[in-house]
Amino acid sequence: MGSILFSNRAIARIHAAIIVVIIIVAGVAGAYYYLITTPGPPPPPATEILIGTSVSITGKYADSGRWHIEAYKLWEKQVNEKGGLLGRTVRFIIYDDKSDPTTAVSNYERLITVDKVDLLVGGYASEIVFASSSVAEKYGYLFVEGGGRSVTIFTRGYKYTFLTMPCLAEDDGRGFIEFIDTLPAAKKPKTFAFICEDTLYPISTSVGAMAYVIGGVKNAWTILGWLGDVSKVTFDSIKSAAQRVKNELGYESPYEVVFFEKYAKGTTDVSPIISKIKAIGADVLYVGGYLPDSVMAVRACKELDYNPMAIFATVGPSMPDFGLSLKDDAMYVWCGIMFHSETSWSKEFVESYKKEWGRAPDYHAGTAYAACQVIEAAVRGTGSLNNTVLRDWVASRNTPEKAVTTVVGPLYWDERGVCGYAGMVTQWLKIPEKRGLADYLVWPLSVREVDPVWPMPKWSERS
Amino acid sequence: MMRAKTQLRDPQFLSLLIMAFILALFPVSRPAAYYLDLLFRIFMFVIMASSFNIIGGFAGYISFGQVAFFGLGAYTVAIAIRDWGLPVFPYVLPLAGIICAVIAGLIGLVVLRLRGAYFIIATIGLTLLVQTLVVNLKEITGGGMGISLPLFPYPMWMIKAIFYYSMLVTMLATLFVSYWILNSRFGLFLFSIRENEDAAEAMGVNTTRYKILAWAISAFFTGMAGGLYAPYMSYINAETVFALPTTIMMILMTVFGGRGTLWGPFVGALFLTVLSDYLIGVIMSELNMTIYGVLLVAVILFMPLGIVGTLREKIPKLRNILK
Amino acid sequence: MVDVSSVAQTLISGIMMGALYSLMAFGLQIVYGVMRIINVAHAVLMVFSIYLTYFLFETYSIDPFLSIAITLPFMFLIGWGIQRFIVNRVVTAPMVTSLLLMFGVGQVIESLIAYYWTSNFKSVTPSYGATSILLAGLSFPIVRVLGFVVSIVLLILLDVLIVKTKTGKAIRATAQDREAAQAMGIDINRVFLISFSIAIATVAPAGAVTAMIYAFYPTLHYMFTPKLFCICVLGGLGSIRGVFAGAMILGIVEAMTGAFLTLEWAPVVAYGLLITILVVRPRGLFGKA
Repeated sequence: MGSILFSNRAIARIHAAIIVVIIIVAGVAGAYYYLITTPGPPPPPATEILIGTSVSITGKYADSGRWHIEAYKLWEKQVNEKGGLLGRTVRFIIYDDKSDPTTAVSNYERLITVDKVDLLVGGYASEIVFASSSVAEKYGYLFVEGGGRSVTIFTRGYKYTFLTMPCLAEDDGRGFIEFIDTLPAAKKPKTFAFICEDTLYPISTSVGAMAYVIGGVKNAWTILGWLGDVSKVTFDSIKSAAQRVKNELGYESPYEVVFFEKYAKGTTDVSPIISKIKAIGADVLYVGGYLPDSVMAVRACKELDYNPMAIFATVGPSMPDFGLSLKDDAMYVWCGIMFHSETSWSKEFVESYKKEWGRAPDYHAGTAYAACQVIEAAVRGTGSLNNTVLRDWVASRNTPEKAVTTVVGPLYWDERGVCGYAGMVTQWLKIPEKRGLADYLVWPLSVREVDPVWPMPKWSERS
Repeated sequence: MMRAKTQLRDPQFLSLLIMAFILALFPVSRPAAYYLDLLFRIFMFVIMASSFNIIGGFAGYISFGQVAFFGLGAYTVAIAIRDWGLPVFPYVLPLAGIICAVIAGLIGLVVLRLRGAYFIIATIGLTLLVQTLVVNLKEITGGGMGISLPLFPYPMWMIKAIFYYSMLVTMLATLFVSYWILNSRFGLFLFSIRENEDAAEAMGVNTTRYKILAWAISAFFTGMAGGLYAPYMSYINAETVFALPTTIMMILMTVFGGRGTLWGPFVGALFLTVLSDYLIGVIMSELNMTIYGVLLVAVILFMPLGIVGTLREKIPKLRNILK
Repeated sequence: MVDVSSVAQTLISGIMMGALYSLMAFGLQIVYGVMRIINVAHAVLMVFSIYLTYFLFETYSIDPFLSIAITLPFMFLIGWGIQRFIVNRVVTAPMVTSLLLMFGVGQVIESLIAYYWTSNFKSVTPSYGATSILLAGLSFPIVRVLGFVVSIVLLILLDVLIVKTKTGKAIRATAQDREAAQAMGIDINRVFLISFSIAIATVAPAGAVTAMIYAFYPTLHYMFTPKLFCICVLGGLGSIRGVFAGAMILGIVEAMTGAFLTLEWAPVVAYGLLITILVVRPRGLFGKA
């Protein structure tokens, strides 16, 4: 390794010298740099307000990501047409998180510390929101989100996270139970079967719905308190809870949970579970999951000729893709929703969305747009861009009278950042005189479009 | 083993030291926190890619199972913090690494008996198996809901510094161990296994022992990376920490950079992470993945030895640094 | 909670699922058997053929099963193109190279699908979608039954091709020993080209059936790829008949686990089985050692 000119010892010494020099130079340069990068004078007021968000443009949540982007862009355009906020133009900076929480976190870091956005707005999917909200909380940025609604996001004591989905995952089934309570005794179902994918949101929604089944609207959240960590809830713990409701709260539910099973993510066929449920003969099937789950379950029910009084599925039937995918097989399926194009507070939004994007918005777009509306209201209400001031303003909207008007209805929040319940229920029906094959609002009565069909006509009896 | 003096004369060792210095001093320049996050992720991927390199590059066993150890490490630390609080963190981290190494050793006894495509598929199955087991043991792991961790109650700059330096140190440890392996008899044995395992066996090399050791070392560092990831994100769930795309990314970075070299995984991780972030900011549609894929295909077709490997071939002068 | 009729029904579900799996896995096996390449983009190409089926159904109202007549030759050509210009360069490269190459190819295809068709969920529902024939109290979903028939047909066709035809002999020879085949005058490049093209062509029927069963999206392939690998190993790497057997086993095992335990544990059983087979009898059921 030695060359002709220098001996080995000399080379070693030269190398040692180089290292020493590097250390000294680095030390001096570092100290110098540190001293000169002390914060300078504040930047001049910008003519723009920057809003940053991380959205799933690619990956498994890409379909919801698209709704979000469309909603944000529509709002951006409309706000700027009105003259912007505080006299400044609003501009969105949107990064793709590829449906990955790690990327989402880094996107928010980037938005906050590099792009230096003034405001943030939240993304989609509980797991991504979980991680993203931590970034916002650490930096003290208001984080209004219309994409993650498992209650565990809000039990961490975070101060900056607010939800614009007026129906927690756990409350998805509430309206449905309220409706069933109004059925005449002869038509009432007695037994309920629950299946769900083994991930955050589906588990939350199913366990919540089971609590409503065994405890009624009054006791559901008490039961959820008993059950604790929803991931550990099993069919047996539900049975114990039902027993406890009877003993301690003196409430005897007319309904019973007779089946509860989770299936692994990536399960390609739920027929085995549906077979089991058919053998038990449950009156109502509740499918906790997303659109692919609801499609898979409905098809399995049809294939196996399982005819419950009702099939209730989460998320899927609230999207137009449900009807497009299943066509007439989508009929009679129930869903708990929080946004609908036929409500008075959303009609204008739906029209402008259709004009801008050529398709009607679904709830992802609705809740995302609502998040923007809340931020807009806060900024206009306080005249400030200081995130803590904004946060305090939103937190002060804590009664129905002080609610913020949005396309998902009037929103107000509790100390956890959860907005007041305003869920609705739809049923897929085919009514040529109205909107053809679509999801129609059936509950609460104040928003009912048509009378629902109960029970579900047998598969063999449909034309 | 090498004597200290010889090491200092080795340009490759020096280059590692220099790089360590630069990175250690970087935060002093008060960059935007995002860059610390970017480097944190790069370090993490370097650790994973280098770990993969030990078993996949040196020993030639393409393991799709590294992400299983990442997830195990993440869950170990997350469960510990959840049950015993944040102060436990510094002790649990190396423990997570050791647990992963032990598990790797045990699994390796069985799985490392397979070769080639069989080994690859076995590790894929393994990852999915571990993922499902973790999810199903909901009593301990919170099942499909994941684990949420509290935020560190320190000022922002301190949190960033803690994570940055922890990951940096772990990465340096991984790289120095890789360097040591490259220059030791152990490394030679691994190379012999990669070139022709049967011949190595015939010559008396205890291939089983060395394979398992390589895998355990690989799992140790990957597990630590996972263990740092969990509190950094403050929320983990099985789907994210056991994701198959992560394991593919690890392999990709190593091959992209140059399999079997010291700097390969580093270059690969650095390049691909920065590229990915750059594309996110610039092209806001599905096409950013298309570009990514096309680049991948191009590099693999035209630079199969990876960046470092190809450089080494074309520029003999750099051979000493780029071993 | 378990009676004879629901066990029988579960068995049927498992067999139907297995048939679909086998349709998906044939091509993967061919590529590995002949070229020793693990084509991780195989499932992505299947997703592509799903979208082709969708396109033909929505735009021209062509029945998915009938559309196979169009998608099959189309996929054959796609396979031909991919092999000729990309895969051919790595037939002699180490496994990791071809693996990552196919991953890159898969990424490109997947992202183009997402770009062109969006990630919105879609599905194909012909008039007979999800309907079943009822026999002896058991349900036989028509789409799946037809899928089963198609898989048997494909199995027989492939088998006949490999065993009885001259091309098949060339393919077998190349699969067994590349150099020897070359020495005997077989144009192995042509063999590779034909094998790969056939392999990709087989995704056409798989895609058609899958489109009718699932709500699909561009990243659907992740759901199936690990299972397909599982099946190829179970059946014995390189064996077409093995694919069918392995697929059946996986389908039935998954369904039975769902019936007797819960579907939460199905992956554990499935992958546990995989690893056990790999360790105990790596050549699977029909493979050669």
